[in-house]
Amino acid sequence: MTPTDDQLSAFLDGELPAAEMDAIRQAIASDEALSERLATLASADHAVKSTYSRIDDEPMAPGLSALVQSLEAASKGQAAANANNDEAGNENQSASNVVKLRRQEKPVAKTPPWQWLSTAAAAGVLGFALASLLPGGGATTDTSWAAMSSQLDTASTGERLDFGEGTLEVRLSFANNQGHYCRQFDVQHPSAGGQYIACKAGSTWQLHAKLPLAAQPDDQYQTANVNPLLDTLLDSTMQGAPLNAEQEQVAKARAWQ
Amino acid sequence: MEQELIALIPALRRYAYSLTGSKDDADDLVQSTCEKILVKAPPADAALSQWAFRLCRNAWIDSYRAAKTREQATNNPVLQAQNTVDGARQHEQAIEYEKVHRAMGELPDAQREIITLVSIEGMSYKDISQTLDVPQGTVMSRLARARKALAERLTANKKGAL
Repeated sequence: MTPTDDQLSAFLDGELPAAEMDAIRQAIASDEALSERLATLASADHAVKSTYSRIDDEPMAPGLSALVQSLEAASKGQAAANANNDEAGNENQSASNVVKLRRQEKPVAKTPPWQWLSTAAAAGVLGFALASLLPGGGATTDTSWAAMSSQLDTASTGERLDFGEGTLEVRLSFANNQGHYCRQFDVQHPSAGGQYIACKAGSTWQLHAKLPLAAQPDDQYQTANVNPLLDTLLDSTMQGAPLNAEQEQVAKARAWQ
Repeated sequence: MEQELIALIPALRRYAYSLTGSKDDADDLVQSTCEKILVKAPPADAALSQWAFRLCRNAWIDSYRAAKTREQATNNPVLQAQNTVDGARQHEQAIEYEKVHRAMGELPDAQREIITLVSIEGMSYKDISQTLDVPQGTVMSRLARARKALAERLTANKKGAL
């Protein structure tokens, strides 16, 4: 299929019906040009977000600041009144304006829960390499895929494992929209290097996406924090927050099924 | 409601900033939006956030757009104010921001406000549809056009700068 811009854009937001989301995911995996179109569309969001979120760090104008203070005073008044009636009271009393605002702003935006990905924009809104997604049989040979997927059952997130001439490190585990377990991992390897997402369907791990690693100066390991397309793919695939260590143990005990 | 409103302020500021292109104007706009909400509470069937974004947008249409403030801001980006200090990196960033800001200024208003609500506030198409009172299909197509136009302009600017 060749999705329209409307569809691709809605795909980024996870706003298409499940069947269309799947169809586009599959199309992305087999069509490099499509992944470039997607990356281009996604770049606009990073540009906008990084530009206008800067106001978060600016002190408020005096008029607005005064208004917030009076709002806080009013809400404290209510809290105090509530406390008189009910000793449980309200804890929300002491912080200064700025601290409160910053603490409360988080849930508003669709910031992905993994901070290491979302700092991408700071590095330059368009400065990321357009990703190329390859199908399972592309640059990833069956052999290397078998070797990778065999590690996914037991690898712990954050643990760097030997992988042939290189390494494999799982960065993140999560449940996808279909309720399957998925893992995002980075492979440093002369021929199979990349950032991968694999999901377990039945008893086998299936390659969901592969993105090239950005070129690194002097052999350093990629820190996986500069790929907005990966961010976007995760965002459109992931259900809820990434698994924490305990949840990961549970998933491991169930062989990720 | 006060606490709910306080919690919304960061989101309103970003939205207002994207509309006005000026931090000072953004805060003025947020202030007048909050004052309106305090005077006139949202109708029972409207979520406070949607109501607030709607009022903010209407207030901007009433005053700022009429006064062509945005146009001035586009020609004379505010971003300078804070960039008087340090290093090349900040300078580069400031240039990048300015490009984004200029490209945003060239979008039709209807597209610009939608891309802001999606990319900064993470609103769903359904919520935007209710907030702006346009069909969801329109939200989807305006957003796609905004993304495409913005990405093309930024890429073109980038090439032009090299």
